[in-house]
Amino acid sequence: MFIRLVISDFKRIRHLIIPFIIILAALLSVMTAILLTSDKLVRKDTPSPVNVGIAMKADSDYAMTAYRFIKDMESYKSICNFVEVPSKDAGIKLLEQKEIDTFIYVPDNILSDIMNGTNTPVEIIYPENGSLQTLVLNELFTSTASFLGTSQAAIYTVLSLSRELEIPDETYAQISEDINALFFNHVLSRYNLFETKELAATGKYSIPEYYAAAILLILLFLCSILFLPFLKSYNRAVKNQLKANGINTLRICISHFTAICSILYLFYIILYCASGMISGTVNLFTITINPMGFAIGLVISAVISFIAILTSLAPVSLSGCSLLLFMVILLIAYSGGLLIPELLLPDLFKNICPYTPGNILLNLLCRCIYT
Amino acid sequence: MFVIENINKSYGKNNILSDISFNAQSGNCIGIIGINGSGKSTLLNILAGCIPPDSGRYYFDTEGTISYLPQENPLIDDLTALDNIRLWYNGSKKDIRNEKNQIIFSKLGIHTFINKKVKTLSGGMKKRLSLAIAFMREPDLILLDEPLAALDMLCKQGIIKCLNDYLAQGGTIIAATHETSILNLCDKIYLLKNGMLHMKYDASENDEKFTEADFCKML
Repeated sequence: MFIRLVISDFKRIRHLIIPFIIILAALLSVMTAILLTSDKLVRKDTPSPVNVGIAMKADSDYAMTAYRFIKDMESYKSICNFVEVPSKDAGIKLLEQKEIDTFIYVPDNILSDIMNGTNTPVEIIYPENGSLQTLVLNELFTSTASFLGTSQAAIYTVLSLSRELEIPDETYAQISEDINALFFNHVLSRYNLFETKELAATGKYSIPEYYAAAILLILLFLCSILFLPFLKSYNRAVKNQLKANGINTLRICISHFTAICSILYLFYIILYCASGMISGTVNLFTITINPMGFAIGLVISAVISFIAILTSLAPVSLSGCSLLLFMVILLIAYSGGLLIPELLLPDLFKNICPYTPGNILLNLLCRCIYT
Repeated sequence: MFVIENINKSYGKNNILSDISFNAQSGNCIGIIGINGSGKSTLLNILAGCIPPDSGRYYFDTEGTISYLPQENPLIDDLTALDNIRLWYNGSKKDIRNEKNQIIFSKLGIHTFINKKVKTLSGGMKKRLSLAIAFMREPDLILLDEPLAALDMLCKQGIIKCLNDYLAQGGTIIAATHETSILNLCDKIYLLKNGMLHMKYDASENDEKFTEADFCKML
């Protein structure tokens, strides 16, 4: 009797395949459109470079070399756009006109002052109501100044020691030149000191990759709502007859599970292959068709079928059950980071997110299809 | 012989069935009457094995099988009549087409709608199909719950004829009904009232046929 029930469930559900595929195609088209325009939907919060005006008198080759080194440093290059300004007044005027965001005034003879131990300060002028970039730039200048100060202390130590040893002037001059060259070549040129790291809320996957997997899951979850009329179609008389034939509620659920899981898996295969083909034509993400990708589909279909069957057992009408399942799907999607990435969720959901079925399935799916 | 001994059933504080006992001999038709909500369907559900009794037992003195035709439609609407037969019938696909079953089909006019979906069938067609499935299983006992409810005269006559033939072949029927045409077939009629079963008619002790006036008097 149980086998005959499973067969009859397959017979019933096969009539749903074509309407479901049409609904699925429509949903897939909408979701694909959203995915393809996702780059435009999400504002890229990359900071634009800050225009930094710099006025300095090139009183020696060292000054220009120092300027070039700073200009080429990775940390400055990413956020600064250096603009050479002829004088302090011109720089302040540009700052007032908002042509530049920060102005650095390097006084005359700064290099020779450094050499003879006079610490003439470099003026850095920020506008009122500076932006976040200005704040970052200030931090960068402070750290560079501290970094230069340490190096300078080392140079003075060597020069002071040389004086105490009463070495000849020519040798002293040579030592001074060599140590300055060392400073420029080995300290200032260490632009790798600042490492640029790009962090994304979607983890190691790009936004289109993340949402392609999330959409695949959400579509399958939403499809399960369409199975509710199938799950709730037995009236009391049919249930009684089944019971009289030794088929209890658990066996009915197993039979329903077998049918729904198979159809959901069929949908998954269609969606997986379609996504694989779409990803081949656009450069947003690359879904690889591989055995693991097919295997994870079975797990996903099983979990979704289980949730749908569990919800269908609620003693409410079909419409009530549909609403309940929709709410359950919404909760699973939200708490699992399918709608908003885990990092951007409120603390309560962020803490439980890794243990929710939505997040577990999403991570497994991403791992299997983006290999 | 089908034996029912001291069956009790209650839902919460409501005592539905109290100490129900009777026997149904092979070839006999037992009628159970009572007002709505008196517990007729509960008794048949217990005998069909759909719900367990609180106490008591029921059994065949020798081996036997039971078919149950509930008051509501026991068919799956999304399937065709044939697919429903395949689901509920114990035999193989080949057996469905055997001569015995073909006779049942023609008696109840199943052929005309065998490939149609149940949800497109009328109430009478569904009832005939359910009865056909019940007969196909060749049961020793058929439990009928209001088998003629909401059927036209022609349909009723066809079903009565089938039940008569079944009884003539030695089958046993226990029917919960208010239809005098079914009660006319009965060898014994019991009234279920306040959870208790009262014998009201025994054909072996009455030469006269059971009439509608007798029925009204009983209730």
